[in-house]
Amino acid sequence: MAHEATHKGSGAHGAPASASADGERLPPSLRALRIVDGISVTAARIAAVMIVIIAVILAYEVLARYVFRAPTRWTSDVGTTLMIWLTFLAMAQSLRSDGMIRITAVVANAPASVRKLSQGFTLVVIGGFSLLAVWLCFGAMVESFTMGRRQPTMLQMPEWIAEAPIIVGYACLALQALADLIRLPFRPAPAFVSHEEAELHSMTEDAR
Amino acid sequence: MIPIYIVSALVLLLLTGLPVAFALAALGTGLIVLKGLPLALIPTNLFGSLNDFVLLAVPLFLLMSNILLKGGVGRDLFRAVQSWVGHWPGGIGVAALLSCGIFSAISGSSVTTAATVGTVAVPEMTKRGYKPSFTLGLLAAGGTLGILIPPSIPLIVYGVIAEESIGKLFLAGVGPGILLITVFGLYTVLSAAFGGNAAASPRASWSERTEATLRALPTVLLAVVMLGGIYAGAFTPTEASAIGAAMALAITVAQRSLSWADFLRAVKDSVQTTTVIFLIVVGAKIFGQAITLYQIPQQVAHIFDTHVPGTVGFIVIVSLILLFIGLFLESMSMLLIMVPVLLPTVLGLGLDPIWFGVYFVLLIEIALITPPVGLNLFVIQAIANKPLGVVVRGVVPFVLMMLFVAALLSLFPQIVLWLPFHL
Repeated sequence: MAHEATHKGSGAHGAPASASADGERLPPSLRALRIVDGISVTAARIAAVMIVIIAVILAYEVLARYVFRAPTRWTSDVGTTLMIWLTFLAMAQSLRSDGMIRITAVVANAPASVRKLSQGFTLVVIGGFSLLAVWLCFGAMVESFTMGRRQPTMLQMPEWIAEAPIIVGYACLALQALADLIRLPFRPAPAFVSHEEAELHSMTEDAR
Repeated sequence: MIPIYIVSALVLLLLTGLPVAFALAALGTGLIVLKGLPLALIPTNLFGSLNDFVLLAVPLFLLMSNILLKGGVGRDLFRAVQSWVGHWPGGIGVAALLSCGIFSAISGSSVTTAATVGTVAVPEMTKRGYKPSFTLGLLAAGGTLGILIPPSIPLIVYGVIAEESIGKLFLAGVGPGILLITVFGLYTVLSAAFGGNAAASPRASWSERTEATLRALPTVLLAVVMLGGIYAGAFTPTEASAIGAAMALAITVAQRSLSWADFLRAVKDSVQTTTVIFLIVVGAKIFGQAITLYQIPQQVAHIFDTHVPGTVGFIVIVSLILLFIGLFLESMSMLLIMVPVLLPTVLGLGLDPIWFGVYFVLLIEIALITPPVGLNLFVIQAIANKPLGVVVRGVVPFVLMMLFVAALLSLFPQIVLWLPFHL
């Protein structure tokens, strides 16, 4: 059966408990990789704070316009910049918790060795693309900084403020991909659970 | 031949289990390199991919939906509607359908709508003797209204890709949404009246109606304020999403139905879904740039121009392609991959891009209830704890009705276009 799915098992999936359980099977020298997990979790927590701030400042903008009769000129720029930050900051945790959308129709039914290979390929591509993005975007951001480029908006915020999260986010993602790649041989072959099952489980629990 | 090579490479990458976002980004990068163009195009696309105020509505509508979902709003809505129409023939089914419609007006997601209403409606419909396949089919299909009736996350993303007004797109979704509810509702009533499907619930007393309605009123008010504000020009769709999130929080806190832990989970889930969606947007931006450099959209337009007779042929072929792709690909990927490719042809044929956006989303809705990737099927299956086959059997009539509505939209585009151009 072909279905869209996310893979569970090879990454230190979601909850810290499973991370620690997985970690215990690793050689002691590799337990330091938990630091990378910690960075991903912290970045995602910062992203969670940002989404709340965005909601607050945009609601405030409407209030300022109609109640205080004093519309702001910063909420749109700050809100958009925070959205960029939150998206890229939460990327690594999304990889760590196997949250990305993927089609596992073929690999889900493949032998264990092929499933490991598939996960390895995924991590290599994600890690490789992330490193390329960091390298290319860093150069562009330095140029924006040195040339003093500003956004063509009312606030004229420096460009590098909205460019930095892309570098930070992909750097975290590259680290997480590398950490998961190193741990891959020490873990059981990934068991694929459909994305639907994962998402609906959380959703139906919430709805109940 | 180049389009075939590119599609084959994309399919191959997706089948390896590579996440959609990175399959698109990696293939796009590869194509840029093969063309001998500077890699400086990559940061340009990465920097520009999300720098759009309109997209800000996505995380905030998600936050609002998640807060309402965790605050148990679906239960209150269903009880209120049931108190008014539950005694009709097929009344509980109609109540479920109307609850889906109302919840759609405060949620941009089909899955959330199906889960929220399904959780309360499935046990009630089962208790009243509705056939399991009918119940589950109705809820799975009713949930799809979430992305057609505004606010709609796919319509926001479509608006960004096609550079169309989100307000107009939201208005355009109203007519087809009401038409779908009407068609589904008629089927439900007729099925109960002639199919001996189920018993109606006892007529609710006026005090019961008043109590249930008052409980659900703040949520309905939320939808009215949010959508009314957009159409009155009081605030933008993005600001409406923030107002909606703030009101959702205020309502659930006032009703004491949202704990601190629920709120944290709502925030966490919203960030997770936002990242997943936006990563595909980023990947699609790079892929879109690459296929533009290879002039793929123009080649596709040329193929349609020379081999397909007129707009009817285009609509039929595109519908078949999208229904087929929808069997394997989830909605956001479908939208982000296919819209940039098809849009030049749409414009070339003189079709209205607002109409096409709504039509596209209707086809995505069908994809949401067709196996093997139909997310709503799995949500309803989990809620009811029945075999998937029962849900699939139940959605068949609803898929046919949706295809009928799709045909109506093609024949009478005014169903879509009247509101945005007359209001």
